Amino acid sequence: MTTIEEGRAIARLVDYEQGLVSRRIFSDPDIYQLELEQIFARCWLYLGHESQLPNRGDYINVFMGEEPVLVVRNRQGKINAFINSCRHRGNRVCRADAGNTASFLCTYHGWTYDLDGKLIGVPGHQELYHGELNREQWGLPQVAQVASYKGLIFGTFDPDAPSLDEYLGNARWALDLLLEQGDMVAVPGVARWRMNANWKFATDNAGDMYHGNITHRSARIAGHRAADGERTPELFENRRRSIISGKVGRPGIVMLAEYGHHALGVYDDDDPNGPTNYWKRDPETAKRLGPLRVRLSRSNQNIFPNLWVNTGARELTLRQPLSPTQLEIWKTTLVDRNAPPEARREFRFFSNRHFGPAGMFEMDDGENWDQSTYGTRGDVVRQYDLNYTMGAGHGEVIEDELGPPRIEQLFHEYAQRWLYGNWADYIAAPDWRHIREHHKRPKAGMVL
Amino acid sequence: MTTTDLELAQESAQLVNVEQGLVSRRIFSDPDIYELELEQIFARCWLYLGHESQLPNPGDYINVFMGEEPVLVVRNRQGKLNAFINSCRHRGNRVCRADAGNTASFLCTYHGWTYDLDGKLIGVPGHKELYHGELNRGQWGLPQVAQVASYKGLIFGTFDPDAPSLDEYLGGMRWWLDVLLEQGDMVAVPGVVRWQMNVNWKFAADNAYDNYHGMTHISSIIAGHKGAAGTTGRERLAVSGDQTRGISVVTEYGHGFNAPYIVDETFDWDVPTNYWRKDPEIQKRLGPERVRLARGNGSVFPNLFVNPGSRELMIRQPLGPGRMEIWKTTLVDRNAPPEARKMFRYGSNRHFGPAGMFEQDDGENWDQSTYGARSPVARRNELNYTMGLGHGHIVEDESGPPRVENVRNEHGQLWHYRCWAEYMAAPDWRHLREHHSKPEGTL
Repeated sequence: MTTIEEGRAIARLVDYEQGLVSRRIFSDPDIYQLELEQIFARCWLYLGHESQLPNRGDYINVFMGEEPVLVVRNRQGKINAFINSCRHRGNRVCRADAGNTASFLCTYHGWTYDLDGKLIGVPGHQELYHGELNREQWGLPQVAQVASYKGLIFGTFDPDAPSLDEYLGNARWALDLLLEQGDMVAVPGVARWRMNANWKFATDNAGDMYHGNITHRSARIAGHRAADGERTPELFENRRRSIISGKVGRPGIVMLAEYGHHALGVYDDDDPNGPTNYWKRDPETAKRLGPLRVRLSRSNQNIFPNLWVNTGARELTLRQPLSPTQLEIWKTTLVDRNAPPEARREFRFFSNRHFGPAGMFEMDDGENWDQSTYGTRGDVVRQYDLNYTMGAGHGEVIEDELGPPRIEQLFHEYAQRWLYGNWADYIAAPDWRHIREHHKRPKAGMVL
Repeated sequence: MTTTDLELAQESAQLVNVEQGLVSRRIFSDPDIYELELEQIFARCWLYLGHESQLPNPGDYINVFMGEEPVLVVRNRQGKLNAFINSCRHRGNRVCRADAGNTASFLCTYHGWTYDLDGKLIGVPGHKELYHGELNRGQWGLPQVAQVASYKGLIFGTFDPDAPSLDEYLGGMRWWLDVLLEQGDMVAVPGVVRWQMNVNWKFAADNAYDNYHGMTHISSIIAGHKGAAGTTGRERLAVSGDQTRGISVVTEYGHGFNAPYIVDETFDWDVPTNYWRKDPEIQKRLGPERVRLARGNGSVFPNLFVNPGSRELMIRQPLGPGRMEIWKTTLVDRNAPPEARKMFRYGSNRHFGPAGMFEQDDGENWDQSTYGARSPVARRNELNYTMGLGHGHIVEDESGPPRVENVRNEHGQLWHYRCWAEYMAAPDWRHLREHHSKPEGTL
């Protein structure tokens, strides 16, 4: 464990005021280890969707940072989470991705744990341990808190973390844009793939509207279509020209929330009568979401630290860290149980062709993050900070009855600066008490 | 080693809690601790290099490793065994790449510096013209392994000139090594079998004492695995003895073994692989206590696994905190009956080795243990080595070394980590020889 002083020194690698971020934080192995402690062992992390484990004994095998974690519905129907690592020699007690079981048996020596993670079986407990091993003390290490928000299960290793509701805060307003689209359930199976990228570059990109017209041009030329079936190279070309000429015509918002979350929303630039917009035309849903959110055709959000939420494609995408320069992406697609067949079909095609191991946009993005990560490794190039200054000093925060504190702009780097500013706060903070007192709060009238 | 390094090594030693039988997962994954192990353990201890029968003639050599150091073991013109680091003094290249062979000298293929069978620098191209005759070849020989010695054919070396003699280092462990080495006229089967795993070397070493994980091997037994004696499953009791009765022995400087007793009612003396047990000469040499031992598994600290049942010697070479390479040498008795030889050969191949059925079961376990030691939250939970703790009463009499009359426990594993911690914390061999643990009282 690094000292607090070292944590503070590392936090200074982010110059929040100037919009400068040191390349070191993307490749330094010591900083990576510190992140695992100060961020991934503290924050609420997304584990899965309740519909993935509907029955007693159902489990899913996931990760929190680098920790393998079992999420289990116990006999009473409660969702538990504990580290998937036997207390005797550390082996995983379950290898399957998901399933249903009565208990977990370690295949090295047979120590067995129940659905609450309690140690219930020790071969030779009487004969070899002389009945002296206190089984109560040797259960699987528990995830300190587990809670759900409208079907999304989160967990934190820190018993002092605030409640999930407090942690998510205004991010809930943005999440509802996905979670209130209907009776949302997870499509079975998690799509997983790896990239040679630091997890923060992928996360950072959730707030990036600037790259689309250049980076994704290749996918558009190759015939990529959006969820609503849009296939208009001409429209795209016009957008590209507008960016180059400085006319950033497409309006939208960025909402910044306490503890590091953000949500970007694009005002209606799609066909309101298209099949995938069926839910917006439902008066009940429109009422629940209110006029501002119904205007948003789609939204890219990041729940700090590493959950990307894409309301347009209805995707929840985790960027799991594997090392300073490697990540594994876990994608879960949600569907509305009551969606019309045509919409379901469109969403299915879209989810596969957009993001995922064979997604056309994914390849464009992954190549960029790989390159960004590569560019942070050399000792000399690391002396040159990365530039996150776009829009600095021009982002006026507004707050009204339509929604929480936000900036009515779409092309900028407010979200990324928010991400790294909060990252630095976590890295420097000794504990959650300190974070809760001193974290950044967006307020009306602030200029970011 | 700097003062800071020694302090770090002493801090690492605190990660083993001998009294409570707890071992931190950090020692299996921390790269700094691994680097310190290479200094405090692998650059100090006597390490197994090979068997004398692998290099019978002058000029024979084998290319091995001591920790991460490449080492040439060579029989010189006078028939003496030498060992030196296989690394040219000019640019550091290896001066020999073959696994084994016979040579008159070693020539570095970069610039041609050449060394003789004692590691002395004998050839420097351009010594007069380019070095002006000023390079003192006497000072630029290959770095010597400080001490080289053999025990009944097993060659060991240590980099530390202050290490005690090999006999003192092996101490009480020789009593059990003889169970293998006195089975006949033992020679090494040509060729060392090598394979790699994503495993910290200590988990493999730890498993040498593990008589608790047998359930792991049920998969092999279901798949039709047979022991050296050709028996399967439950029948193995007939040759393998009683899993509940036997002895556990730990000896000074970190070694030890577990061995079950044979059970007279079920033991089959007529199985061909038991031929040696019936030889009155061998019975006399080994004495009644050792002839009663069915088989067993043991560890010569730090990383040599000894399996007298299948007559195997296996080194667990460290390649990093999460990687190792195993080197397996099988011994055979030159005078064994043909049928026994055949059975041993099959047993050795199907048991342990890259295609060994038990090996795959074990390797999977060690891989998992290593995986579980990496992440910071899981790492806050120490591993449990409490089995039998406080119940290991050491018996001392003239029939054998100090021992615990019980074969399933974790005394050996905890002893391994206890001694590991002592090596890590000790500034030098003088300190170790004065302060190391001795088997006495209760474990």
